[in-house]
Amino acid sequence: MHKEKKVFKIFLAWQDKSEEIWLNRMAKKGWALKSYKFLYTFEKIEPASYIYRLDYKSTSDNDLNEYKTIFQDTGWEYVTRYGNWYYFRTKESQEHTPEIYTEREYQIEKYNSLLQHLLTVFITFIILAVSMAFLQNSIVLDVFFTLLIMIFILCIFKVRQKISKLRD
Amino acid sequence: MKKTSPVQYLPLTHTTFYILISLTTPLHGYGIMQKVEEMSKGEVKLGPGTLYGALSKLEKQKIIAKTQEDGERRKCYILTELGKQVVKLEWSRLQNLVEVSRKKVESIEVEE
Repeated sequence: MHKEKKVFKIFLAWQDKSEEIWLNRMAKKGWALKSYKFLYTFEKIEPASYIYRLDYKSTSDNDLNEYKTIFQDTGWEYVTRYGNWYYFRTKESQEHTPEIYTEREYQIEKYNSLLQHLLTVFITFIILAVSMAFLQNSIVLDVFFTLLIMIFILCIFKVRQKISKLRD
Repeated sequence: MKKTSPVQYLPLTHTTFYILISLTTPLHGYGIMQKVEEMSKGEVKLGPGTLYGALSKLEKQKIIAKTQEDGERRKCYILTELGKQVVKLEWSRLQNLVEVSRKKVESIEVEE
Protein backbone atom coordinates (compact mmCIF):
# COMPACT_ATOMS: atom_id res chain seq x y z
CA MET A 1 0.00 0.00 0.00
CA HIS A 2 1.45 3.30 -1.11
CA LYS A 3 1.37 6.27 1.14
CA GLU A 4 -1.35 8.70 0.21
CA LYS A 5 -2.26 12.26 0.97
CA LYS A 6 -5.25 14.41 0.27
CA VAL A 7 -4.97 18.02 -0.77
CA PHE A 8 -7.62 20.68 -0.97
CA LYS A 9 -7.10 23.18 -3.73
CA ILE A 10 -9.45 25.08 -5.98
CA PHE A 11 -9.00 25.58 -9.69
CA LEU A 12 -11.85 27.20 -11.53
CA ALA A 13 -13.16 26.27 -14.98
CA TRP A 14 -10.65 28.31 -16.96
CA GLN A 15 -7.61 27.37 -14.88
CA ASP A 16 -6.92 24.00 -16.47
CA LYS A 17 -3.42 25.08 -17.54
CA SER A 18 -2.49 26.16 -13.99
CA GLU A 19 -3.88 22.89 -12.67
CA GLU A 20 -1.70 20.94 -15.11
CA ILE A 21 1.40 22.85 -14.06
CA TRP A 22 0.62 22.22 -10.41
CA LEU A 23 0.15 18.48 -11.03
CA ASN A 24 3.47 18.34 -12.92
CA ARG A 25 5.18 19.99 -9.95
CA MET A 26 3.58 17.60 -7.48
CA ALA A 27 4.91 14.63 -9.48
CA LYS A 28 8.39 16.16 -9.45
CA LYS A 29 8.10 16.30 -5.67
CA GLY A 30 7.10 12.63 -5.60
CA TRP A 31 3.33 12.90 -5.45
CA ALA A 32 1.32 11.45 -8.31
CA LEU A 33 -2.34 12.25 -8.76
CA LYS A 34 -4.52 9.24 -8.13
CA SER A 35 -8.01 10.67 -8.10
CA TYR A 36 -9.98 13.83 -7.66
CA LYS A 37 -13.29 14.28 -5.89
CA PHE A 38 -13.36 17.72 -4.32
CA LEU A 39 -10.01 16.70 -2.85
CA TYR A 40 -6.94 15.68 -4.78
CA THR A 41 -5.65 12.27 -3.71
CA PHE A 42 -1.95 11.85 -4.31
CA GLU A 43 0.09 8.70 -4.10
CA LYS A 44 3.73 8.67 -2.99
CA ILE A 45 6.03 7.83 -5.89
CA GLU A 46 9.67 8.22 -6.79
CA PRO A 47 9.91 11.83 -7.98
CA ALA A 48 9.17 11.74 -11.72
CA SER A 49 8.80 14.11 -14.63
CA TYR A 50 5.26 13.69 -15.79
CA ILE A 51 3.27 15.94 -18.04
CA TYR A 52 -0.36 16.14 -17.03
CA ARG A 53 -3.08 17.23 -19.42
CA LEU A 54 -6.75 17.85 -18.79
CA ASP A 55 -9.30 17.17 -21.45
CA TYR A 56 -12.96 18.10 -21.45
CA LYS A 57 -15.21 15.52 -23.07
CA SER A 58 -18.87 16.38 -23.18
CA THR A 59 -20.04 13.57 -25.45
CA SER A 60 -21.83 10.56 -23.97
CA ASP A 61 -19.96 7.79 -22.17
CA ASN A 62 -20.81 5.24 -24.88
CA ASP A 63 -17.47 5.71 -26.57
CA LEU A 64 -15.47 6.06 -23.36
CA ASN A 65 -13.33 2.99 -24.04
CA GLU A 66 -12.49 4.18 -27.50
CA TYR A 67 -11.67 7.65 -26.20
CA LYS A 68 -9.28 6.25 -23.60
CA THR A 69 -7.77 3.88 -26.17
CA ILE A 70 -6.90 6.76 -28.52
CA PHE A 71 -5.03 8.45 -25.69
CA GLN A 72 -3.34 5.23 -24.56
CA ASP A 73 -2.21 4.39 -28.09
CA THR A 74 -0.36 7.68 -28.27
CA GLY A 75 1.36 7.25 -24.95
CA TRP A 76 -1.07 9.01 -22.64
CA GLU A 77 -2.04 7.21 -19.47
CA TYR A 78 -5.55 7.76 -18.18
CA VAL A 79 -5.40 8.84 -14.53
CA THR A 80 -8.88 9.79 -13.40
CA ARG A 81 -11.93 11.81 -14.28
CA TYR A 82 -14.09 14.33 -12.56
CA GLY A 83 -17.37 14.90 -14.35
CA ASN A 84 -16.45 15.79 -17.90
CA TRP A 85 -12.83 16.54 -17.04
CA TYR A 86 -10.34 13.79 -17.83
CA TYR A 87 -6.83 13.65 -16.46
CA PHE A 88 -4.07 12.12 -18.55
CA ARG A 89 -0.35 11.95 -18.04
CA THR A 90 2.72 11.02 -20.01
CA LYS A 91 6.42 10.76 -19.22
CA GLU A 92 8.30 13.88 -20.14
CA SER A 93 10.51 13.30 -23.16
CA GLN A 94 13.61 15.19 -24.19
CA GLU A 95 12.56 15.77 -27.79
CA HIS A 96 9.37 17.75 -27.56
CA THR A 97 6.42 18.53 -25.34
CA PRO A 98 3.66 16.22 -26.47
CA GLU A 99 0.34 17.96 -26.68
CA ILE A 100 -3.09 16.39 -26.71
CA TYR A 101 -4.31 19.17 -29.01
CA THR A 102 -2.14 19.76 -32.04
CA GLU A 103 -4.22 22.48 -33.67
CA ARG A 104 -6.77 25.04 -32.66
CA GLU A 105 -10.03 23.97 -34.24
CA TYR A 106 -10.84 21.12 -31.88
CA GLN A 107 -9.32 22.85 -28.90
CA ILE A 108 -11.79 25.67 -29.50
CA GLU A 109 -14.56 23.06 -29.65
CA LYS A 110 -13.41 21.64 -26.33
CA TYR A 111 -13.73 25.03 -24.64
CA ASN A 112 -16.97 25.74 -26.48
CA SER A 113 -18.59 22.65 -25.02
CA LEU A 114 -17.26 23.63 -21.60
CA LEU A 115 -18.81 27.06 -22.07
CA GLN A 116 -22.15 25.55 -23.10
CA HIS A 117 -22.10 23.39 -20.01
CA LEU A 118 -21.27 26.35 -17.76
CA LEU A 119 -24.10 28.38 -19.26
CA THR A 120 -26.62 25.58 -18.75
CA VAL A 121 -25.63 25.12 -15.12
CA PHE A 122 -25.58 28.88 -14.62
CA ILE A 123 -29.13 29.36 -15.92
CA THR A 124 -30.43 26.45 -13.82
CA PHE A 125 -28.66 27.96 -10.87
CA ILE A 126 -30.14 31.43 -11.38
CA ILE A 127 -33.64 29.94 -11.48
CA LEU A 128 -32.91 28.03 -8.29
CA ALA A 129 -31.43 31.08 -6.57
CA VAL A 130 -34.36 33.31 -7.48
CA SER A 131 -36.94 30.82 -6.27
CA MET A 132 -34.99 30.28 -3.06
CA ALA A 133 -34.88 34.02 -2.48
CA PHE A 134 -38.67 34.13 -2.72
CA LEU A 135 -39.16 31.16 -0.48
CA GLN A 136 -37.05 32.22 2.42
CA ASN A 137 -35.38 35.22 3.84
CA SER A 138 -31.89 34.27 4.74
CA ILE A 139 -28.97 36.64 4.48
CA VAL A 140 -26.51 33.76 4.61
CA LEU A 141 -28.14 32.04 1.64
CA ASP A 142 -28.32 35.31 -0.28
CA VAL A 143 -24.65 35.97 0.25
CA PHE A 144 -23.81 32.39 -0.67
CA PHE A 145 -25.81 32.51 -3.89
CA THR A 146 -24.51 35.93 -4.87
CA LEU A 147 -20.98 34.73 -4.37
CA LEU A 148 -21.56 31.61 -6.46
CA ILE A 149 -23.23 33.61 -9.20
CA MET A 150 -20.25 35.94 -9.30
CA ILE A 151 -17.86 33.01 -9.58
CA PHE A 152 -19.96 31.59 -12.42
CA ILE A 153 -19.94 34.89 -14.28
CA LEU A 154 -16.18 35.06 -13.87
CA CYS A 155 -15.77 31.50 -15.17
CA ILE A 156 -17.97 32.15 -18.20
CA PHE A 157 -16.12 35.38 -18.95
CA LYS A 158 -12.70 33.76 -18.61
CA VAL A 159 -13.56 30.73 -20.73
CA ARG A 160 -14.94 33.02 -23.45
CA GLN A 161 -11.74 35.02 -23.29
CA LYS A 162 -9.77 31.82 -23.73
CA ILE A 163 -11.79 30.87 -26.81
CA SER A 164 -11.35 34.26 -28.45
CA LYS A 165 -7.61 34.13 -27.77
CA LEU A 166 -7.46 30.76 -29.54
CA ARG A 167 -9.42 32.20 -32.47
CA ASP A 168 -6.91 35.01 -33.06
CA MET B 1 -34.52 18.10 -41.47
CA LYS B 2 -32.34 20.19 -43.76
CA LYS B 3 -30.55 18.49 -46.57
CA THR B 4 -26.82 18.27 -46.13
CA SER B 5 -24.81 19.41 -49.09
CA PRO B 6 -21.08 18.63 -49.17
CA VAL B 7 -20.26 22.28 -49.97
CA GLN B 8 -21.30 23.47 -46.53
CA TYR B 9 -18.34 21.68 -44.93
CA LEU B 10 -15.75 23.56 -46.96
CA PRO B 11 -13.11 24.74 -46.50
CA LEU B 12 -11.58 21.98 -44.42
CA THR B 13 -8.71 22.57 -42.05
CA HIS B 14 -5.34 21.06 -42.78
CA THR B 15 -5.84 18.44 -40.07
CA THR B 16 -9.36 17.49 -41.14
CA PHE B 17 -8.31 17.11 -44.77
CA TYR B 18 -5.46 14.79 -43.82
CA ILE B 19 -7.73 12.69 -41.62
CA LEU B 20 -10.28 12.36 -44.42
CA ILE B 21 -7.81 11.34 -47.11
CA SER B 22 -6.40 8.72 -44.73
CA LEU B 23 -9.86 7.17 -44.50
CA THR B 24 -10.19 5.91 -48.07
CA THR B 25 -9.46 2.55 -46.41
CA PRO B 26 -10.78 1.63 -42.94
CA LEU B 27 -8.47 2.66 -40.11
CA HIS B 28 -8.73 2.97 -36.34
CA GLY B 29 -7.62 6.01 -34.38
CA TYR B 30 -3.97 5.12 -33.98
CA GLY B 31 -3.82 3.95 -37.60
CA ILE B 32 -5.08 7.36 -38.73
CA MET B 33 -2.36 9.10 -36.73
CA GLN B 34 0.37 6.96 -38.27
CA LYS B 35 -1.03 7.33 -41.77
CA VAL B 36 -1.34 11.11 -41.48
CA GLU B 37 2.17 11.44 -40.11
CA GLU B 38 3.49 9.29 -42.94
CA MET B 39 1.56 11.11 -45.68
CA SER B 40 2.63 14.52 -44.40
CA LYS B 41 6.23 13.32 -44.00
CA GLY B 42 6.12 13.94 -40.28
CA GLU B 43 4.74 17.44 -40.57
CA VAL B 44 1.30 16.68 -39.14
CA LYS B 45 1.34 14.87 -35.82
CA LEU B 46 -2.13 14.46 -34.41
CA GLY B 47 -2.63 14.74 -30.68
CA PRO B 48 -5.23 12.39 -29.18
CA GLY B 49 -7.50 15.27 -28.15
CA THR B 50 -7.51 16.63 -31.67
CA LEU B 51 -8.07 13.21 -33.19
CA TYR B 52 -10.91 12.27 -30.87
CA GLY B 53 -12.53 15.68 -31.39
CA ALA B 54 -12.25 15.33 -35.15
CA LEU B 55 -13.56 11.77 -35.27
CA SER B 56 -16.59 12.43 -33.10
CA LYS B 57 -17.47 15.58 -35.02
CA LEU B 58 -16.97 14.06 -38.46
CA GLU B 59 -19.02 11.04 -37.47
CA LYS B 60 -21.82 13.28 -36.24
CA GLN B 61 -21.72 15.13 -39.56
CA LYS B 62 -21.93 11.73 -41.31
CA ILE B 63 -18.74 12.46 -43.25
CA ILE B 64 -17.18 9.32 -41.80
CA ALA B 65 -18.75 6.19 -40.28
CA LYS B 66 -17.69 3.26 -38.14
CA THR B 67 -17.14 0.12 -40.18
CA GLN B 68 -18.41 -2.27 -37.55
CA GLU B 69 -20.26 -1.72 -34.31
CA ASP B 70 -19.48 -3.19 -30.88
CA GLY B 71 -16.88 -5.72 -29.90
CA GLU B 72 -13.52 -4.24 -30.76
CA ARG B 73 -12.01 -1.67 -28.46
CA ARG B 74 -10.48 0.10 -31.44
CA LYS B 75 -13.21 1.25 -33.79
CA CYS B 76 -12.44 1.54 -37.48
CA TYR B 77 -13.67 4.43 -39.56
CA ILE B 78 -14.21 4.95 -43.27
CA LEU B 79 -15.39 7.77 -45.53
CA THR B 80 -19.12 7.80 -46.25
CA GLU B 81 -20.57 8.77 -49.63
CA LEU B 82 -20.98 12.30 -48.30
CA GLY B 83 -17.39 12.18 -47.06
CA LYS B 84 -16.11 11.16 -50.47
CA GLN B 85 -17.94 14.10 -52.03
CA VAL B 86 -16.54 16.48 -49.43
CA VAL B 87 -12.97 15.31 -50.11
CA LYS B 88 -13.41 15.58 -53.89
CA LEU B 89 -14.89 19.07 -53.63
CA GLU B 90 -12.20 20.28 -51.26
CA TRP B 91 -9.54 18.90 -53.53
CA SER B 92 -11.02 20.69 -56.58
CA ARG B 93 -11.26 23.87 -54.55
CA LEU B 94 -7.59 23.66 -53.58
CA GLN B 95 -6.55 22.72 -57.09
CA ASN B 96 -8.54 25.58 -58.53
CA LEU B 97 -6.95 27.97 -56.06
CA VAL B 98 -3.49 26.87 -57.15
CA GLU B 99 -4.37 27.14 -60.85
CA VAL B 100 -5.88 30.60 -60.75
CA SER B 101 -3.12 32.00 -58.59
CA ARG B 102 -0.21 30.36 -60.38
CA LYS B 103 0.68 33.24 -62.73
CA LYS B 104 0.31 35.87 -60.03
CA VAL B 105 2.34 33.97 -57.51
CA GLU B 106 5.07 33.13 -60.01
CA SER B 107 5.37 36.79 -60.95
CA ILE B 108 6.03 37.79 -57.34
CA GLU B 109 9.70 38.33 -56.72
CA VAL B 110 10.95 37.86 -53.22
CA GLU B 111 14.08 39.72 -52.23
CA GLU B 112 16.76 37.52 -50.78
